[in-house]
Amino acid sequence: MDPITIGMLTFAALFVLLVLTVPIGFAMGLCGLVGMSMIIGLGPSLSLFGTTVYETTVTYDLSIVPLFVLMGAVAARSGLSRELYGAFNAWFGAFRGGLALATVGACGAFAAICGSSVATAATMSKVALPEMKRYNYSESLATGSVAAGGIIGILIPPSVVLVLYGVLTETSIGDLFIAGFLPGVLTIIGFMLVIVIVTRLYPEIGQAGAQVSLSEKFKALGRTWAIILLFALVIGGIYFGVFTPTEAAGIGAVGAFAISAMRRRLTLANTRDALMETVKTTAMIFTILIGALTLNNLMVFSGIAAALSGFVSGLDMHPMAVMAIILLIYLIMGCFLDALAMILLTVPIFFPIITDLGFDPVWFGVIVVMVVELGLITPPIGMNVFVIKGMVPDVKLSSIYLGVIPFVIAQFVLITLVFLIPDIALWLPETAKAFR
Amino acid sequence: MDTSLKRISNVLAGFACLVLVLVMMVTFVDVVGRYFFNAPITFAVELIQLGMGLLVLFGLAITTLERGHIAVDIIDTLVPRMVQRLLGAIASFGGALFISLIAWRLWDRGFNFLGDGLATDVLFLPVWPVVMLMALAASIAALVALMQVIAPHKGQDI
Repeated sequence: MDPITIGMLTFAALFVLLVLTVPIGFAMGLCGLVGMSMIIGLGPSLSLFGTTVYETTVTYDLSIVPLFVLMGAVAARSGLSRELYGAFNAWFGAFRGGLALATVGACGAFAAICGSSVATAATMSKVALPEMKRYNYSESLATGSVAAGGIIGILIPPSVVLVLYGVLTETSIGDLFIAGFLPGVLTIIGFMLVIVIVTRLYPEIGQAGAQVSLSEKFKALGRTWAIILLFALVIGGIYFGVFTPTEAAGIGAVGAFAISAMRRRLTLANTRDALMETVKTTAMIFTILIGALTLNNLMVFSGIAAALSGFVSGLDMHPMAVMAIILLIYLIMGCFLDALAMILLTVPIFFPIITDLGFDPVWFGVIVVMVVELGLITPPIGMNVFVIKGMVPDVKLSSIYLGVIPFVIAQFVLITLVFLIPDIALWLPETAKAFR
Repeated sequence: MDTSLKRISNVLAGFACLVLVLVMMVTFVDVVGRYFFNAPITFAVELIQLGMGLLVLFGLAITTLERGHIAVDIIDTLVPRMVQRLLGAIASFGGALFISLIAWRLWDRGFNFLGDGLATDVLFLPVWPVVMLMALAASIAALVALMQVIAPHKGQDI
């Protein structure tokens, strides 16, 4: 059998294993290993696998993964979300739908110290949902804004998903982080616009709050200084080239502990929970990473990667059309797959095609994350929607999905914007080059 | 699930937590030392490398025990419970197989390092004990996955 046929068969086998609910990391690893041993023989492929395992785990750069996960896990237990919500409420509460505006804003700000969407949605819903219930907000607007606000979590740096994209494609993690910032801020603004429009059309779903004096506004903003400082230190440090992203992750994690301690939230139970959660998440991520890298080896050795990009360029399609098709595939897969797993599973396949067509790898990373974000709030498997359903079991799933619809439309518009104007993502990293 | 295996998994995870704190502190002190006192920890990189190895593998057993590995499980909701159990067993078997391979490769490497006496660059720490601890932790995780093939599928008994 020629290598390309072996590669194709391996992917068929991978699909079968995934349908049989074999965890994604195991399935990718096993298929990669079997396919590889059919091409280069059992001995060499086992030894190559050993190298992959050893070099993925015993490595300095990848300590960025547990450190950023830890930073988010500690921040989520520090009660910071309450202050963020208070600050945004002081500034936006007096508008119609003010509490929903504050929710989206606070989610975006929380994302600046937390790299996970689900954690952002879970943390913010605890603060925002009771408040919106108290002011008689419609269930759909309340739950929809938390679910949608949560998805900003994986775009605004630090972002665990972008880290893994960077590791897999050897793209600069610093560039990816900085590139995600502007589209992230645009997402916040876009979602706020959605709330303004929806509450103008249906004023009864979210009333305006009381007017707050200017000094109160600044006082509320001042209470969030620790978060602003930590974000400025971590991302500013990366932007100005003071720290590497890995070093910034270490500083961020220690910073999150320090803030938590200052607020007297660093109890033994909180610390243990945050550490334990990080350890489990780390083991889960690295298992998938080992699997993905093993499969990646097969992609290269079998020549499938090259054949696939050759095939696509032979189609003589406009590069933008190819890109649009790839994004469509992501959109559909996003409805069924976990964001992180999807990126690790698909990027080895699509990345060679994308770079072959001359697209910027940083831009592709940002846009893929934006598309994957959509999957977190679309049926049938919207992770964020499920998280929120878990928090408020009496709200119907259909009401949450209804509330999410306007945000899905906004996200479509935003993706189109970044797709047509790559500079939205690429301009900031370009300016950062001056400092390095 | 065998309770002693559960206890071992928890102990390993506890060690992983300690290693995580160590990795964080070494990174932090190294950066602060380098930028503010011009005195980086010369052995920071090798400590973090070895720490990462221990952190990842020591957390593997508990993650496997709690079925924390991501799978595409939409089909699970569509099929009867008997089939669910069968799928659960297949998934666990895949896990047991893959983790066993990881453990085997790590044992192999550990013995190689024992033979050639590989040591870290600055502190000259021998690498083989760390790799063998990683291999041991992976073996325990593989055992956990193997138990799950036979043991009743707890999460789906609702």
